[in-house]
Amino acid sequence: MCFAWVSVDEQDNDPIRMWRHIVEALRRVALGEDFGADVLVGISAAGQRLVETVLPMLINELAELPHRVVLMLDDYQLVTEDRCHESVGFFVEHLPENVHLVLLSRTDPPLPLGRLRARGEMIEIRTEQLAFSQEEAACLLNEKMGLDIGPDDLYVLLERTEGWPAGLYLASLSLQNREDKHAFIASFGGSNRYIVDLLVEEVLAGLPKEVREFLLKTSVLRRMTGPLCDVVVGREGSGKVLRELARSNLFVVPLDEEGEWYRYHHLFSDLLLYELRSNQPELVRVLHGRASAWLGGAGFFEENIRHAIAARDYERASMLVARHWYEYVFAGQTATVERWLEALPEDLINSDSALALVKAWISALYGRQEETERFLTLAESGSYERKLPDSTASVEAGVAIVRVVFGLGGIQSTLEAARLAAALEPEQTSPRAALVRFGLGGSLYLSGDTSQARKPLEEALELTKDGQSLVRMAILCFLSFVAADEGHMEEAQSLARELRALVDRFGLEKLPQASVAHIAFGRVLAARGKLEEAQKELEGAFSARRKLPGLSAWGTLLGLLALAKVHLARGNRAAGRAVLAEARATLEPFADDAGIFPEILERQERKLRARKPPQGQLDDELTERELVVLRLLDSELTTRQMAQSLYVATNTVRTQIKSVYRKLGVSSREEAVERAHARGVI
Amino acid sequence: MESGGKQRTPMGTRTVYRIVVRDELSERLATAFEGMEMETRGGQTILTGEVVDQPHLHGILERIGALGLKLVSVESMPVENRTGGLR
Repeated sequence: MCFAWVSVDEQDNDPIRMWRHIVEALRRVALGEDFGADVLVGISAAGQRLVETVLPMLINELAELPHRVVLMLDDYQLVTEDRCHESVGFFVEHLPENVHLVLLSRTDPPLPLGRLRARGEMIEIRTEQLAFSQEEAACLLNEKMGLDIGPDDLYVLLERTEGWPAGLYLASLSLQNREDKHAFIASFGGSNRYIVDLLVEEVLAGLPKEVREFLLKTSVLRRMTGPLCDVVVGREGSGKVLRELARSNLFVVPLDEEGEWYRYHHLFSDLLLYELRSNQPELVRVLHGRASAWLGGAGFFEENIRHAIAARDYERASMLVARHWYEYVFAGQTATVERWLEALPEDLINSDSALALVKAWISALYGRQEETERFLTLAESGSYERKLPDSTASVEAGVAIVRVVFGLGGIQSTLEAARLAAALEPEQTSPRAALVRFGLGGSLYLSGDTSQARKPLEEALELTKDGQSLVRMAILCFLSFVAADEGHMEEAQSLARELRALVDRFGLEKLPQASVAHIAFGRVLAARGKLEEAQKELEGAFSARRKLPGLSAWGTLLGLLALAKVHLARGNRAAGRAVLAEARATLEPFADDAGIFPEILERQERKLRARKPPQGQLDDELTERELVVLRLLDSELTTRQMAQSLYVATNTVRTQIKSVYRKLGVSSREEAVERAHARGVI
Repeated sequence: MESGGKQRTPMGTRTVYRIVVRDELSERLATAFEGMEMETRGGQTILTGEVVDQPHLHGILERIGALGLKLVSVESMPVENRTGGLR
C-alpha cells in the first residue's frame, strides 16, 4: 500500500495546480517512473476541461496499479473554488477499487457527503472521535511529556480543552516550565480566556528571549529553512534553532527527511503572527520584504511573489509576475496568474505595459475578444522602451504575437502582425520562437500563400519537439492542410497520424483547441473517400469548438468548408446548404479581409446551386439565416452566445429561432435538433 | 422579529453585525478582526462592526473557524448609511 500526501495551500484554488500537486505526490511514492508523466502534460493543456480530459486518464492509470494507493489531501478547507471541488467530486465518484481518498479538513467539504454516507462509501472521523479521552491525555502529558499530572488535574485540563489535542499539547508545553503545576491547572481551569490565546502567551513567556524572537519573526513564513530564517530574523544559527525546536516541539513540523525545511502548525503560527502584528506592526512588512529577497535569490518564485505582495512591494511583485507568467499560463495555470494579478493594484496594471499584455493573453485565452483589444491598446499606450521581463523583444512584438496567435482582425492584418512578430523575434532561442513561426506559417496559409507557409511551419515543428503540445498540435494541423492542398496525400496522412498520437497521448481530444485536429483528420479521411467517417470527425470538431465561443473564425471556417464538401459529395444537399449558410454568416464581418475563404466558399456555393433540390425538401422552407441558427441550436451555446458568434443582436436570433420552430412544427430546442437530424439538414 | 418572509435591506444601508464567540480573547487577537470592536464579557467575546458585504462577513467567520473559536451567535442589525458611519 502506498501513501501519497498533499498539503493543500490557497494557491491550490487553481484546479490545474491542485491536480499537478496530486500527480506529483503520487509520482513520488514509487509508483513507477512513467506513472502520470503523460497526465502531467495533459494537465497543462486541459485548462477548464480538466475533468473530461485528464482526470479519466489519471483514474485509469491508478486503476491499473497492482497495489493500493491512499491519497491524502491535508488542509482541504483551504480549497474554496467550485471547479476544484467539482474535480474532486468527479474523482470520488469514479474512484477505482484500489484507491482511497483521505480528506483532512477543518470544514465539511462541499462534496456529496450525504450520498457517500448513505452508500457506506465513507468513513468519517469527527471532532468527537478526535477528542482525547482521559487515558489518551494521561499518555500524552505523563508518558510522552513526563509531567506527572494527577487524575483530578488531568480531568480539569480535559474539561477545559474539551479534549482538543492541540489545546492539550499547548497546555503541556506551558506546564513544562512550571514549578507549581497544580496551581497553574487550577487557574487555567477557572479562567475564561480562550485557551489557545492564553496558552501561547504562557509558552512564549517561558521561552528564552532569542527563541521567542525567532518564533515571532519567522511566523511570517509559510516554510522555513536555516538560511532563510537567518535573513528574516537577522541573526545566524537558525538551522540549529529549527532542528532543536522540531525535536522538542510538535508545533514545528519537518517537511522533508533531510532536516532542511520546516513549517509551523497553522494555528500556532497564526497566533504568533497576531502577537507580532499587535506589538510591532511595521516590522511585519519589513520581514516579508526580507523573505521575498532571499526567496527570489534562491529561485522560489511563487513564495517570492507571495511575500512581495504581503510586503506591499507591488513594483517587485508585478515585475515577478511579468517575468514568469508565460511558464504558468502555458503550463495551464492561468488561474494562478489571475490570482496574482488580482492582488495587484489596478492602476499599476493599467500603467504597466508588460502586465497589460499578460491580461491581454488571458482574455484572449478565454475568448473575450473585446477585452483583449482593450488590453492590447493599453499595452501599446505605455512608454515601455525595452525588452519585456519575460524576454519578449518589445511591447510591439508582444502585441503582434497576441494578434497572430489568436487571429484577431482580418487575415491580411494577421499576416502583417505575423511578419512584424517574425522580424522582431528572429532568434530560434527566443521562448516565443515556435509561436512566431507558427503564426507566420499559419497566416501565410490562410492568405493563400501555401508554398511560403511550409518553411516556417516546419521550423516551428522542430522547435516543439520537447514540449508545447498545444502549439505542436496546431502546427501539425496546418502542415497537413498544406500537404493536402499541395496534393501530397501520403504526407498529409502521416502528419494526421502523428497528430492523432499526440492528441491521444495527452488526452487533448475534447479540448476546444483540438477542434483543428479533428478538422485535419476529417480532411484526410475525406480525401481517402471515407466520407462517413470524415463527416463524423468534422461534426465532432464543431461540438468541441463551440465550447469556447470566441475562438478565431478561421478554424471554424476551415471546418465548415471541409464539412460542406463532404455533405455535397454524399449528396446531402440540405445539410450542405445549412453548413455553407453558417460559413457565409461567419465570413461576413471579415468581408474584405478573409484570405482564401471567399473564393472557396463561392466555389462550393456554385456546386450547391448546380444541384437541383428534390421536391419538398425542408431546407427550402428555411432561410439561409434560419439554417445557420438551426445548426447552432445543435450545441450547448446559449442564445446570447449564438448571437455573439454571428455578430447580431440577441433578439434577432430569438426571432429566427421562433421562426425555425414554427416551420419545423416543434416547440423546443431538442425537438428542433431531432427533427433537423431526421430530415438530414444537420 | 418579523413573521418570516424575506427581509431585504434597501440600497445604501450598511449592516452592522454582532458576532459572539465563546471564551475571552486578548487584545492581540484584535488584529485578527480589523475594523471590528472587541468586547469581552462573562466568558464570551463580542465582535461588533460594520460589514461591507457577504464576502466580508464570510471572511470574518472563516477567521473565527481558523482560530478554532466556538461560534455562539451571529446577528445582523441594519443601520442607515449616514456620513461618518457608526463610530
